[in-house]
Amino acid sequence: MTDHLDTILDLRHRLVRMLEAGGATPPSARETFTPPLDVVHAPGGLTITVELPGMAREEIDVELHGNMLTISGERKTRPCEGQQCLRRERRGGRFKRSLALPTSDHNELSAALKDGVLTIKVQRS
Amino acid sequence: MRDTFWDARREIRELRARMDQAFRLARQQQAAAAGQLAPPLDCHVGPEGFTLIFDVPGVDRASLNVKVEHGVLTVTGEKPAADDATTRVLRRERAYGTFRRTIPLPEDADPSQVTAKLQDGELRISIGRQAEAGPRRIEVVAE
Repeated sequence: MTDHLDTILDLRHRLVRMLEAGGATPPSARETFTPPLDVVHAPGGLTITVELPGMAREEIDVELHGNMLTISGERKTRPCEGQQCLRRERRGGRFKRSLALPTSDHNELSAALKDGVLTIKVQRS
Repeated sequence: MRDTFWDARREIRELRARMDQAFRLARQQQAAAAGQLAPPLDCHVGPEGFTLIFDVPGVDRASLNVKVEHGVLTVTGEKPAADDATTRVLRRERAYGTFRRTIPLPEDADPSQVTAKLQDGELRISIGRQAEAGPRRIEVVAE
């Protein structure tokens, strides 16, 4: 019995090490994420969209310094609301995305959040 | 001895759960890398029942379809890309298209008690739990 247990424990140790080395750490272990972002050029200007499901407007910061646009915040996925977790695939944590806008005399910016998508429009003035 | 045995069983169960998680994440990353849409899912269970939360940002409610059949939950939907001939894509990290996820439900999930709600790009599905059915005693009769 003890022999078997040792084998199992050793196996467990090796597997856990393997999983951690492979970057397959559960999302809870690395609490940062990179929300996907699109940039589309349309005749009126640029449209930037970022996927931020479940987030409220006041949890998202959109800033413009010079021509550098920065979107930051923290997405709390509230893992299991104190209940037993069966699956955990959604990512959350602090994020920060920056991108340089084309330099021009000042762009007009607007930001709107709808259905978990942040849409920033940059109109050429 | 008995305690050690149960500890080992728990260890194996936990290990298995971690491996499942690792494989799921790998699949997810693979699908995302291929530009396919595979909404990530959290699932938890409490005394009231099961809660499943999918991230579906930008998916229209009208395109969403939630179905429970033969103990399997199926969620389908579509996220169309907003660009057309007049636009030029400078960066694309978001995935678009149709998706389909099927989740086998636990045995005690009650398919007659399912509700689905879409808010801020999160689809929340609640499934009731059937009352614990105790073992049924079958009487042995003499012929």
